[in-house]
Amino acid sequence: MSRATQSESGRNKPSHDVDRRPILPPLMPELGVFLALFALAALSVLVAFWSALGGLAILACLAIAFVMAALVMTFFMHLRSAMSVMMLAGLAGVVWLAILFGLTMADYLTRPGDLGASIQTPIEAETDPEAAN
Amino acid sequence: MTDAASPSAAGGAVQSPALASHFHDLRQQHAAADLGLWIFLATEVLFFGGLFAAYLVYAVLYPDGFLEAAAETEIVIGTINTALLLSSGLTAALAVKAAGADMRRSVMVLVAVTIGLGVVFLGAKGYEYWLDLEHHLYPTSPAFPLAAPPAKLFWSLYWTMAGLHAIHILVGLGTWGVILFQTWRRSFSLTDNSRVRIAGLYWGFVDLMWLFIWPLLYLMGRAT
Repeated sequence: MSRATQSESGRNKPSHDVDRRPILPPLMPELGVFLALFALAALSVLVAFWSALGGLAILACLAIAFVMAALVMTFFMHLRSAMSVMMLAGLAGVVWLAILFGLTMADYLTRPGDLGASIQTPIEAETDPEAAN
Repeated sequence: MTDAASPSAAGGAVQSPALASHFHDLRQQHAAADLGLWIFLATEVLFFGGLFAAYLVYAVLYPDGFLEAAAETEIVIGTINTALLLSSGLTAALAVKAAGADMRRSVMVLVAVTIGLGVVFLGAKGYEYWLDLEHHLYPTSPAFPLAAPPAKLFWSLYWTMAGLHAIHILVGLGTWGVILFQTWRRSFSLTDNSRVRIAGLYWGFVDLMWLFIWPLLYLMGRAT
């Protein structure tokens, strides 16, 4: 840091001179993560069109999305080097989301009769506006 | 460095003007800023979460209608937008890294590229909305092309989820714009202030939400 005192602002700068500094910071590991994200996105498209899975392909795509989200949070949102309290704050959002999904589905999935039979469907609403529950 | 000569508690180093009086040191201040934003992001997760929950309920109740409706979205534009957002996520993360190293020119280039990618994203999104309107793919259209009534539920969610995300992109672009201007004016210290890192966290979150919106709105219903 001997050169730092020579710089104009006198601020605590890295030892390079401003003009000689490279235009970009070190690209790794972000570039590697980016390439992995691109590969996963391409895989997700392939899975989405893979007819053997039918309508369940979306579940595989969402599983890939979770892996991509973990990569983004770890590297692009710096959870890798963050204090654990940041992870707890983020996790709190996910926990409450799970409660939201869990309680909502606990209602819809445990109503009497076939799934969706005990609520007014759009089809019923169109054919008989009075039909409710 | 004209700050009042109150020596920092740690080792007598000169105190940064960025340090607020109620913090012990910059490390603590940075941690507080990060934590505040992470708590905000947790509330944002639940903001989007209501829409995801609605999607979940209706997709479980009417899987066939949702599969049919989702196959009508513009998957090419949606996928290009995914690529654009992932690229902007990379440039934003690198901008944060460059700010940490006090590389001002680098921050400006990377933030400008991030803004550019975001603007192209919104442009593509706008074109996509225009195509959807042309195809009468909005729930109140008298010429709505899909037969299954639940398809209208899907298309309501499509406009709302993609729209809410686009608003977040717009907010992020505004934030980056201010930061780019301030970096150019040298009006804050890249290493001592949290601004670039905070904007990077927010942008990462917007990226994150798209990673789930993309499969739900565009990849759904293609394997038939």
